[in-house]
Amino acid sequence: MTLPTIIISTRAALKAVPPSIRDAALGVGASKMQSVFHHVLPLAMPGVLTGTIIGLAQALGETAPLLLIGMVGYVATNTPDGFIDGFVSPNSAMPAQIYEWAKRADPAFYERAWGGIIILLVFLLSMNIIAIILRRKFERRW
Amino acid sequence: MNDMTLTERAVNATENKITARNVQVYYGENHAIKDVDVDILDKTVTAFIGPSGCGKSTFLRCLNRMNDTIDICRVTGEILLDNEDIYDRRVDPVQLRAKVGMVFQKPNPFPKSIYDNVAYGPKIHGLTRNRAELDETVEASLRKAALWNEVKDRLTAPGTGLSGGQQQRLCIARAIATSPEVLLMDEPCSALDPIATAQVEELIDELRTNYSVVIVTHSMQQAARVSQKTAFFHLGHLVEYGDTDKIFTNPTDPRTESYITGRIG
Repeated sequence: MTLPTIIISTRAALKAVPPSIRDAALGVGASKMQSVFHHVLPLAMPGVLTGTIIGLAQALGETAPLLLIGMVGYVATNTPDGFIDGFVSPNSAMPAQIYEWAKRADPAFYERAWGGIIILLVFLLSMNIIAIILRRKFERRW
Repeated sequence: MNDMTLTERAVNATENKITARNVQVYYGENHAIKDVDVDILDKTVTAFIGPSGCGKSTFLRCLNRMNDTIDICRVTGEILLDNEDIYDRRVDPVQLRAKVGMVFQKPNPFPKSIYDNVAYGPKIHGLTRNRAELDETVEASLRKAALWNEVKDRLTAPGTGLSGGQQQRLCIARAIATSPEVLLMDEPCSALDPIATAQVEELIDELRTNYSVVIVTHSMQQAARVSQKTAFFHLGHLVEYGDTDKIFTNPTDPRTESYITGRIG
């Protein structure tokens, strides 16, 4: 459910790059690829990053689509047994796992749920901060 | 003002740089350019004049294949640059555009430093081997564009922070940094004030010693001031092409006469 948000804002950011910049790049003899990678994409980057922040923030808390596609296996052990096992054994996402923990009666599970929530929040905040720093860095005046 | 420059207008080059024969351009169903035959001389300023929408810019964009970027645009006929067909399948439009530079109507510097703006062309074409050579190219181009003295102390400042006239001269510097053989200018002065226009016109006259310059302009006074050859376009046809003084003082076609006297257009 993250892709539409990212695609829409990326499209808008790419379209917002003035066509005169494309013309200028082609006019000095840049190939299409060079004009996109040297000029259009760097200029659209702030917009793309903004879209990604919103998309990721949305995805972090999303549980409903996971229930639908079955990413709600209960993970009991902390680490999977070996590399392959990590892919084939029942799997879950953070919000679903917190829900699993929270609905169990034992206080130990409550503590785990709390821990999970804190990790989720810290992750969300740090990701936003990184994206904001990147956006600031790339921002350009016309 | 015109008379003064008309007398000292000597065309000393007779070599053809670009030869266009039977050029037709279609935008979808729309037939934009009809049967244009023109010979553009080396080391000469050629002006294209005509009313809006008559195809001057379209034809100019054919000369370095900028029309390739427009999907519905179709070009037939023959355009030869140094006797090589530029619409041949073996010609790489990217290489062609390095040889045929272009300056646009609106100043469009990249939102980078002044240095990077000028250095971009030589960099992507690998024209310089090291930093020192690149520095030299940048300085030479900015000097040729009469901008060096104004920006030499702030080469790292963003190019978008310059004034309009300086930006346009920066774009000219960027275009000549790849040492093109032909320089196409699509109304380079339409966004500039009279003083900046005068500077750019002076620059065009200097560029004539090294390059063949083709300029599209709405201002007939400007065409008379800077060019040696003038072509008059009307409704997609090339109506008249010849020496500038002849076009402006003694045009053969009645349409040219009515345009330059201000009856049409």
